[in-house]
Amino acid sequence: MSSSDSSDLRSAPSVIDLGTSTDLRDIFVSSLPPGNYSGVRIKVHRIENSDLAGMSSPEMAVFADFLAGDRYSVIVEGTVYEGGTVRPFVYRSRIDEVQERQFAEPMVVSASGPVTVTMLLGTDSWFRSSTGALLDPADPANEGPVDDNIKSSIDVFEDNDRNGFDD
Amino acid sequence: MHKLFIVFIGLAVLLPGCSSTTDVSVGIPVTFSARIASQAGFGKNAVAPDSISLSRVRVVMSGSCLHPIRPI
Repeated sequence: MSSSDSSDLRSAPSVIDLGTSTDLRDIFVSSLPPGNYSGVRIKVHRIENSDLAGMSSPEMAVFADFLAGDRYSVIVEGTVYEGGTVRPFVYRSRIDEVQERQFAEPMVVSASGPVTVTMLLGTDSWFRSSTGALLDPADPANEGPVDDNIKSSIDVFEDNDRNGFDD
Repeated sequence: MHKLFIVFIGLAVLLPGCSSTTDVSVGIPVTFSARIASQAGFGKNAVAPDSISLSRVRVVMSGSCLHPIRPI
């Protein structure tokens, strides 16, 4: 089977609002046919026009901040402490990243127990260079390295015990 | 007209299985969750020079389960 076989099981886009808590947060529930699944795929992406088709106004409002300009997939808010100054910032990323995990053992979707897939975001590396130096979110020159850090920090795994770690 | 009706009913049966809603009447619920790996940002001491703290992280994502191998 090709990876395109999974396309009919793809969820609609959702916005994850993680704040700063490390607690596990449920994003959505998909209803899948029972079976054994070889893996999962998570896509962090900008909203496409086809995604918007059929959305109600309240549903579309959830994506409002991501639809500005060239459209965004990640929005980070925070504070920079640099050189004795304090600056709030909002970093907007346009990354389109797919993370796919093939399981060593198939993921069993059956009535016998709950199934959870968790996406992990390693935010502590996003604004840090390979040498550990700060990457100022306000500096356009840092956009590439920060986006690369976001992409490489995404992991996805089966997490049926819901402890936030790979089973 | 009769064939059209059958096609319509067929789509009505198939489409819910492709949806991402919380309607679990036609399948098994699979929960997609997320978390951040550690307290956001670095330089946890807010007064440390050259540090960043994050207050909110929002991401647009979608997910899918791959390759049904065989029905149970």
